[in-house]
Amino acid sequence: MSEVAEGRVVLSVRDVRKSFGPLEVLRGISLEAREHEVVSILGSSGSGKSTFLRCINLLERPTGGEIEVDGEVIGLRRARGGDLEAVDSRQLQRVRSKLGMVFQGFHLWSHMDVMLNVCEAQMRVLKRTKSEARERAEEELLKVGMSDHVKKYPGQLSGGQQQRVAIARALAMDPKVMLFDEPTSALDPELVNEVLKVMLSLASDGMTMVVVTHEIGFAREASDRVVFLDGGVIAEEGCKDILLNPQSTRLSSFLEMVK
Amino acid sequence: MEDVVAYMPLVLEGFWVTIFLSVTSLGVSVLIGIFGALASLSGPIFLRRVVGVYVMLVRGIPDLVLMLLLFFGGQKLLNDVGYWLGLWDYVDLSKFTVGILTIGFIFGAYMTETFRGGLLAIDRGQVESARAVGMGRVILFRRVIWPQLVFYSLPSFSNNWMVLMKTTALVSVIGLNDVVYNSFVAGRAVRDTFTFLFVAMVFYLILSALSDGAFALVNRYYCAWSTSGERR
Ligand SMILES: Nc1ncnc2c1ncn2[C@@H]1O[C@H](COP(=O)(O)OP(=O)(O)OP(=O)(O)O)[C@@H](O)[C@H]1O
Ligand SMILES: [Mg+2]
Repeated sequence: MSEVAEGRVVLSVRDVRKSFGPLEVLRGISLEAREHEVVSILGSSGSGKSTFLRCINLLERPTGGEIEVDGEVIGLRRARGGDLEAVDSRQLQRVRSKLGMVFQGFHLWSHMDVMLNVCEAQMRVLKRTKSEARERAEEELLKVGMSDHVKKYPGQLSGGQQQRVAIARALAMDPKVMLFDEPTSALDPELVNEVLKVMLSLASDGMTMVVVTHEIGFAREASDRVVFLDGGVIAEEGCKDILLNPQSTRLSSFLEMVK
Repeated sequence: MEDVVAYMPLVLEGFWVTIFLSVTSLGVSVLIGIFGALASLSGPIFLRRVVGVYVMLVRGIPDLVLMLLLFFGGQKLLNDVGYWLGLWDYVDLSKFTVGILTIGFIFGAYMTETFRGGLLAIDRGQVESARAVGMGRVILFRRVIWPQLVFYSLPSFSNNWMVLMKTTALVSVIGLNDVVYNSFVAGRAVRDTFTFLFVAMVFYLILSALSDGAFALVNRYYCAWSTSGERR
């Protein structure tokens, strides 16, 4: 986690806009993440953090903008309704498999046990064999401390355990970038730390991460760069020092609020 | 007693008619149900309305009335339409076809509700996480949506099937030789209606017991994941 990131740019998002009908949620947001870099996105509720993250892997259709992952620009065209959709669904699937996404609500597949949750996409999307996938799954489950639960179903796990499995599921795909959308907000307070610990160790292992979070402590400890969203634009951005010395009044009042 | 034995083949023939009728109308109703559920969830507004009206009508009209209506009216309607459009000549629908279509039509409405409920019960987040790892439509459906759709629809589906099976008895009023009709004919011939209807009853009981067993197997296969291996 160097002060000045020098790595190759693996994620580049340019001028992303998104409107829901008359509601303009994102008004042109650009963001770059270099290899091994951890970028934290902060912003008050409703400021469009999730929408932005979901636009990156096109779970949400942006109204405008350009997205480049690992040197590959996603081909977009205007769909009916005016938003952008992927031209080539195979390209989109390939790009998505390079973006590991972790959701606030875990979203493990409830009819698959832990092992299968982590193996499924490896086998179906990356076409790995069962034994390759299992091996990789065991590795990642060990990393997140879930090796003892491979046969359990998501319904038998605590929120913190589910989230760690979800992280392993994403990691097993060898993503170029991990996207986290408030991964600890749905957890009971006593479970937050086990997930943050996993994320911190990922960061120190050099994983490239874009993290939407309300955990200022995490942002301060792990981020190389902090981005503050407000009113549909980036209101302030910089190294993590801006969390201590915010330049804009909007960021300082936000930090005051979450304190 | 000998008379009873002599008429058994007739009753047996009725068994097969009932089973065939049940299975084929189940097929029709499942097709209608899947289409109806998809249409009412993600079809154009017009189609959603049509499905809504269809379900409402079927729920509100007694099965017997619908059966008679379609049997006596359906044929005429079909031919009138053909005549006005000049597209087809007189079409003769067999009683059998009318029976299958009517029961399929009725239970298509219930299946529409069943599958609609099943689809709505699926967690959208799990579909999104599948898209997020790069699954395409086919894999997504086969590996994530289908298993959960079966899980959520099964109780209501098996219920529909049980009722459908019994509803096929209605076709005896339009003269189809199902087990009830044939038992009745046999019973009148030897002046022993009770014995034959008793046989028919036992037949229905066996059929539902078998179905229960089959559904239990399917249930076990698709429900291993729900916390205790049983339904929550
Ligand atoms: N599918 C949608 N249709 C209409 N409006 C939406 C939709 N999704 C989000 N919005 C609106 O967009 C705005 C931004 O939502 P978003 O979920 O991105 O905020 P957020 O910053 O992630 O908030 P939170 O911290 O509560 O998660 C909100 O006003 C929300 O109501
Ligand atoms: Mg959010």
